[in-house]
Amino acid sequence: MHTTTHKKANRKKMRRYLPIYFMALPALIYIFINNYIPMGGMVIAFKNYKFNKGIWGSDWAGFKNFEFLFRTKDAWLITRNTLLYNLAFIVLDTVIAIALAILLNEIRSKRCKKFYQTVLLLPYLLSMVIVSYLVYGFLSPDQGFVNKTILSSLGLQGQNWYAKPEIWPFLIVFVHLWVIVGYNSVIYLSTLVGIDKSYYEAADVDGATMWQKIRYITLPNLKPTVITLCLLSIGRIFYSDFGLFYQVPLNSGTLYDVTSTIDTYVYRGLMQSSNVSMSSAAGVYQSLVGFVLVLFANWVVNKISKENALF
Amino acid sequence: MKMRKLTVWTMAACVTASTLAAAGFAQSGKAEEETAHLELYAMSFGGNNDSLEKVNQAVNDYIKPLIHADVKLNIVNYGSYAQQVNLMMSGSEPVDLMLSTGPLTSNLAGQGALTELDELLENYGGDIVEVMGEDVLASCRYGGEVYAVPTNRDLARSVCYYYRDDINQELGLGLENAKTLEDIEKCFEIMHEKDPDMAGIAGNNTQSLMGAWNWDAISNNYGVLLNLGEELKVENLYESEDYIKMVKLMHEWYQKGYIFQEITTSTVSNPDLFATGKMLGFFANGNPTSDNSQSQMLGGPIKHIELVEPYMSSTTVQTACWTIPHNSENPEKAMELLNLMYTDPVLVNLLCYGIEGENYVVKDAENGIIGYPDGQNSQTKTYDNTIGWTWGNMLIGYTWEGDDPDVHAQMIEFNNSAKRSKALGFTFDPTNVQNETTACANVAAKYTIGIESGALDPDEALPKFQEELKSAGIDQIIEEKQRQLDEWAAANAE
Repeated sequence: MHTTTHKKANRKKMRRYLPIYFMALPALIYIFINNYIPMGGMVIAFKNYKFNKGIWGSDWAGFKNFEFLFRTKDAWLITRNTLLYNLAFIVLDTVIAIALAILLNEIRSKRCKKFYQTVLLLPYLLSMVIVSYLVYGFLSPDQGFVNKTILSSLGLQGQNWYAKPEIWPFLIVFVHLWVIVGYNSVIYLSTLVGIDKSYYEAADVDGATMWQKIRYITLPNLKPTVITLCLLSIGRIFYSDFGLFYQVPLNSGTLYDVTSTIDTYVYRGLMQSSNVSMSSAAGVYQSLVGFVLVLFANWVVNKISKENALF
Repeated sequence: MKMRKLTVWTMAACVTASTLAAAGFAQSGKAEEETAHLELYAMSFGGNNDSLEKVNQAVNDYIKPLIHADVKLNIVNYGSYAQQVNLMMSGSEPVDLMLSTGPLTSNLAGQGALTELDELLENYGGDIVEVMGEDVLASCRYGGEVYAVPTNRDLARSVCYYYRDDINQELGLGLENAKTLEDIEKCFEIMHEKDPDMAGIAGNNTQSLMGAWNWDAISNNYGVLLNLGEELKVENLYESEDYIKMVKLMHEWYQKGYIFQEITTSTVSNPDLFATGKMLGFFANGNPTSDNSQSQMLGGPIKHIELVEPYMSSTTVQTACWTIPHNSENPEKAMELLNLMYTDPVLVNLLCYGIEGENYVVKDAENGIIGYPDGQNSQTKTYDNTIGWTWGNMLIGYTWEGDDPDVHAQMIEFNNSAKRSKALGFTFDPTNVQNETTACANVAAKYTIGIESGALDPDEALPKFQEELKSAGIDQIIEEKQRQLDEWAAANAE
């Protein structure tokens, strides 16, 4: 008896929400076609792919296509690079963007505020190819601003920056921040603008300092936005901005150890060795490790604040 | 409600009818013409190619009555050619005739991307076999089947240093008397003193500065025959004395500023680099026509110094060859067109030099010598005539002004007299060491450009490079190569 009422209730609920499901249908179909059907292509990674035999006609190869990844340090390097860069991005993006948003929020002159906001946002609108040439303008070994103007005026010997892997982790992070921070700060700023002014007025009455207001009013109010943005980035922690890692270092071979991420590695693999199976093997590796990571990140969030978890 | 249903059905019927009608049209159109369409892909090295469409039209006008097919000439820049090809093969776009280069061919053949040509050659390409000879075609066998037809050109190669003679004379460098790398170094010293901005060696990061030197690369440089293949002993190139000596010299030159400083990051091609006027020369392969063809390409008088004597190996034969990809819809027609490209001088001249009167004029009808029309030169030309060596059999076409009238005969003589690697005719099948080869290629991509262009200090980088190659499995590749080579040699001795 109990179960039938339960079922009935369920069916009723179902009928009530049916229009909503129906509305979601186009998007669901799109996701199915775009994201789920291509997953079938993963099978290439386990095949000895021949162009003339097609995907299903090719022979099975087991895990043989994965061997090359683990034969050298490549698998470890690209995993490490992708992860560490993304972690650095998540932390620094958040901290610096929030700091900028608070600063912007304190500016009284409307015109100045608009001006700074635009200036900060501008790099985000540039193509990575253009960014790469801006960087090149500074770092070109022959004509670059750093070698030709700064170092030579100090009487120092110019360096071939594109052959110095040790500086690139910082450079990549710096370029990334330069590009992205303006955009993120705008998102945080919109949250800041929405905070009820009466909190600040009350704080003023109580004689709170500027720092105390930030610490006890602004930051707690930003928390949901921060968590959502962080979670979104964590979900994409195994992807990398292709332009940033491929174009900006100008695909310089010497820098591969510090600039190769899984995306650029797969791209290079397919372009150079033209071996489809091995490239997909690297792609499958990326998806698998990424999947595990997202599960892990979600588990951590579940522990910290349950209502913000993805699932 | 009923009304609406009716409307829907009417609309559906209309759509279906129009689709059917369109299909019907397409079919009737096809029946009338019966012309097969071919897609052809070849490469260029940059430069203006505005006349391509016109030349394409002329080619079609000429071949349509002969083989009942028309062709679309797709010319892709050399730097992105391999990438483009990989994308085309993966995307299954129809490609009927495709120019290919050594390692690319073996890679594609190994993955079943190419059509086996033996039967097609027999039925539609008999003339090609006659022109090229069975023994040269044998160099393009992969696992027993012919997958590619080499173009008839310099099947052997020397390695030369090419330089702008006008700059040489202007600065009084004395390169005309230089014979060895040491001599060249002395000239560079003078050059650097007189014009510190001038680079003695140009290049970019799409290709190693040295390319092949005095070794038979056996398709991929991981395991080579040293000394131009004097012995059938596969060795590790990157640990050989020749290689180490060479990269040390390059590093020295790079540090002294003799080599283009941006070489590891630049992707600019030679013609564009030389347009800056700050480049003196570069290393490249040579043959009897190279001075002239390089002058054409770079827009200035080019001379050469031969550094490695002419030699022929499977790799040099495979440098440029034509293939018919597996997704060709008309392999027979493709082979017919290819056959024409090896035997029909009219077609060859069209492809190599463009349209008479527009892209070239006959200067000496008796000897078949042609040159630019008035008002055109290598800078203002509108058809890329520097890639003649890729168009099948250029040796039956005209001779360009400035080349010896008998240059085609010289070329054949050059091929016949070149030193032959002992492994000529052997092709390596990488299937068993695919993982090792890919791993080595990834390692090499990291180091070769930097080390061979002199930008990296070999004392630091080379040991790392060698070690990573070892862990990537270069020794297994060498072993496998030696095994296949021994088998091949034994089979050949019988």
